[in-house]
Amino acid sequence: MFKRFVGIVKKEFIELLRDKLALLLIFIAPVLVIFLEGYGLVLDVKKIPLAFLDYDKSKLSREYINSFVNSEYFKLYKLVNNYKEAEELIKKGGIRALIVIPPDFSRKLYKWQNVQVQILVDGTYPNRSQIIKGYVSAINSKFNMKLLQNYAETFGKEIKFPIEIEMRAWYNPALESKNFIMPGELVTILCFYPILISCLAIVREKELGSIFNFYCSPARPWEIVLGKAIPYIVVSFLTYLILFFITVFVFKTKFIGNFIALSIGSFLYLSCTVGLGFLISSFTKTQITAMLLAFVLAVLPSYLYSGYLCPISSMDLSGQIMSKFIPATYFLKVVRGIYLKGLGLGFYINNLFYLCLYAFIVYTLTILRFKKRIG
Amino acid sequence: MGETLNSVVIRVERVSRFYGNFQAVKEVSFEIKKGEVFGLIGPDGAGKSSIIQILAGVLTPNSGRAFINGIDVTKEPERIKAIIGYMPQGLGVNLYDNLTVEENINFFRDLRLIPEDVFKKNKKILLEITRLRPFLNRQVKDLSGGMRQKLALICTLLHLPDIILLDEPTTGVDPLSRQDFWKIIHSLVKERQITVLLTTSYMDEAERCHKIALMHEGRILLEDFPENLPDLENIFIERITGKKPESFVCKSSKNWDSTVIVCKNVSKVFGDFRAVDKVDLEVKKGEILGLLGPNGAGKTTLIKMMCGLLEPSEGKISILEYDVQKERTKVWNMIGYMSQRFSLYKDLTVKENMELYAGLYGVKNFDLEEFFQRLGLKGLEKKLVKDLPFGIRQRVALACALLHKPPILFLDEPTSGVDPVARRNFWKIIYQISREEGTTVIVSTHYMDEAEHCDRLGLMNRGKLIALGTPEEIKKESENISGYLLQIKTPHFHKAYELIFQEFNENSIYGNKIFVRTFEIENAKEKIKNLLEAQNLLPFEIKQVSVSLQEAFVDFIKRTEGLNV
Repeated sequence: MFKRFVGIVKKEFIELLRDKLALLLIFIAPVLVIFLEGYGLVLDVKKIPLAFLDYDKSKLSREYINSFVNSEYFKLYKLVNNYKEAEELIKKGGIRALIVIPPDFSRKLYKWQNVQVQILVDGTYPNRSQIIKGYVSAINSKFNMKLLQNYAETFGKEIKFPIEIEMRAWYNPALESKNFIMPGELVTILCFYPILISCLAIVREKELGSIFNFYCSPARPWEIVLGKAIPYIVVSFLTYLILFFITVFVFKTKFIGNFIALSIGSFLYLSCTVGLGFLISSFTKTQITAMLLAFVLAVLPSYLYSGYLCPISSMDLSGQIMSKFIPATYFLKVVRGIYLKGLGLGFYINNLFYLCLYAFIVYTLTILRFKKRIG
Repeated sequence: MGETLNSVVIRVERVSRFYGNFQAVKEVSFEIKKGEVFGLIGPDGAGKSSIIQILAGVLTPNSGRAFINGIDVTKEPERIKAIIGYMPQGLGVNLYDNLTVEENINFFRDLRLIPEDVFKKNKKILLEITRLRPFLNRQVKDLSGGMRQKLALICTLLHLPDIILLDEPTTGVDPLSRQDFWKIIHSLVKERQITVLLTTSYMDEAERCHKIALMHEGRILLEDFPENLPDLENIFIERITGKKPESFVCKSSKNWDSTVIVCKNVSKVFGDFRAVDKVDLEVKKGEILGLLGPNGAGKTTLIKMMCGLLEPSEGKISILEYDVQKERTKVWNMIGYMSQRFSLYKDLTVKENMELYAGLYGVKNFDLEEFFQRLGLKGLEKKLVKDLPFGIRQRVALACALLHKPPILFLDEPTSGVDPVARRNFWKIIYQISREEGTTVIVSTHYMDEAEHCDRLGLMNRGKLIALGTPEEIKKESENISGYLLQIKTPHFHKAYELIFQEFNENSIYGNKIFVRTFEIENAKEKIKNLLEAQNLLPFEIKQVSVSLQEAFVDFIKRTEGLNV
């Protein structure tokens, strides 16, 4: 009964393990990417280069400058002498912001008058300029508070600020972006590479002509589709294990959840992504269209709409609908929940169920689409 | 033939198939009886593959019906799949390159759920007859074209199908593998009364079939027994053009004395693969030299080296005393080259293509009119190349290669897949430029019959030039290697073959003729006569015939490889 099925699985396994390109995409490329993105894609903004145009050149203005430079968020790039010089630096990308201290800075402050300090921010990356703006105003208020305290002291009084904020970030107390990024990486990489190789599985045989072996034999579509899919899922699961190891032991991402639960989730997720690749493979005629379609229909949406880069709740309606059609959405919730929150099964069981349903649908569609005919 | 052999197993009724607006198959009908080897013969694009695919149950016709064992395959294709074997077109395309020979065979066992005892026995027999046993652990990607095709055949036959459908099984395959191939087919027909439907574009393979149908542009032109069709190509041309073809072969009686091309010990190595292996060759001025060989024999590589497009790994080539490597620009002015898949710009018209090539070669003041006239392209100047039939496209490509009037012309498989009418027209032009203008022509081909048109022939196999001489010299030499050829014709050819098979090991079946190779012609004649008379297998006819190039080629391969088969 299952002899044919096992035969197909066996053949597909041998082919996959002898295909150098597939091995590269399964084992080498994902590892390379997770290292590159793990080191490169850190969203924390620190040590931003700043320039100051100090027209005042007083003790007070130097103190003001120091309050920026001494924080971990900024570093002094240069003290410039005029706007033109500063503009060149911003153009070249040497500095991200310029702080202009007016000539009457200290005079006005001593007179207890209002002073305006100009901040020019490189706005090419709105996200980063927002962060810079936030840091600058925080440091500025701190300086204000210090001035007020000094002023009060001259009268022999002490000022106390009544409200103080004490923020604690749960699950990621140090607000390290790697704790946020690495689990997301796991999800997107496990979407990208398995789809990229599985989308070729059927269409390659169509291009070469060996598909006729299946077409002209009594083999049933389910035996062919599932028999071909299993090796891809198993091999991709190895990729998952390697990536998990790297996130936890190399990048020291926080992991407090259950490894078995995560592995079950991964298995379901990989079944979905491989299945999606097979579905694409079943209706395309050439390998190159299959790859392009896989990229446009599966890989890109997974990056954009899964909640990997920005939360789904902040997307508009179309984005939220989109996110429902992507297995990464469900798996990302499971992954983040397990990695950082260590949640129990009850919290993500519905997401696992959706992954099961998703897999069921893609394989059913692929099997129905697999007509043993050409044209 | 017995009673069972007369039952019809394949019936095709008014089948048509469209691809877009193009009708590839036009109301085709035919029947095949049990135990018959039926050949669908025709050029590329005649509709042969579509018919085979419809019968294999993988292509739905737009109209008409097709039956296998009384089951309508257009309606219930799954019911016939256990009893058919189908081999798609191409060199072993149904194989998996990364799997070894044995892994491929095992996969087909699992796919077809072949019982273990049947599998073991069948595998053994098929490996023996194809001589693939020593390569069981080799990956398919490392096999030669002929070996691939034989393995593909093993995989198709492994489940003992009653009906086998083979799409161009011998195209581009080396003669020895081709011979093995036909041996397998005929021995299976003999032992198990299987029915075979195959397609081929080689007219000379017709006589290996029991019955043939000649196809052209989606229609069957005629259906008959090969013995009634002594010269198939001429009949084909007569049917299409409506007039008897005149002989176009014009052998030159000249003696060529001056040498224009010299290849000395030339080799080309790609990795560990010797594509061309120590070839020594001289080409005389004004001759037509044919390079005959299967796909992968090294013909294209050798031609590219002679044109200075590839650098030889060893050896030296000179053209008219110029070293091809060192003085390429001088050489390029003297040669014309038409590559295997000629790169005409399909979105340009014929004239625009010609003007482009004239510009590339720096030809000024050429007379386009005269060219079109001479190559029979008149009236087609404004046509886009993509709208032209394949045969005419090849002629345009030839015109482009001739623009700068080169004294030496290289043609790499110019007529592959072209229909016989177009092929004949093409050869007329080759003769014309050779005989009238004294152009030296080097042409490669894998058509045996076409090779007969050349003044001299070089047989190439696995990178080696294994024979060189006029077609007559090559046949004569073949008789020295394996003996003379005897043809035996009798209605009881199956029984006769059994008898002869025991006495003569150098034998083969061509359809219902038996061929025997022997050095002692009179003795053998006498012996066979006695054998047949003793069993009362009458009437029969025994005569000596000339060795075909196909046979000769096999002899040379055996000699160079030291094979005793």
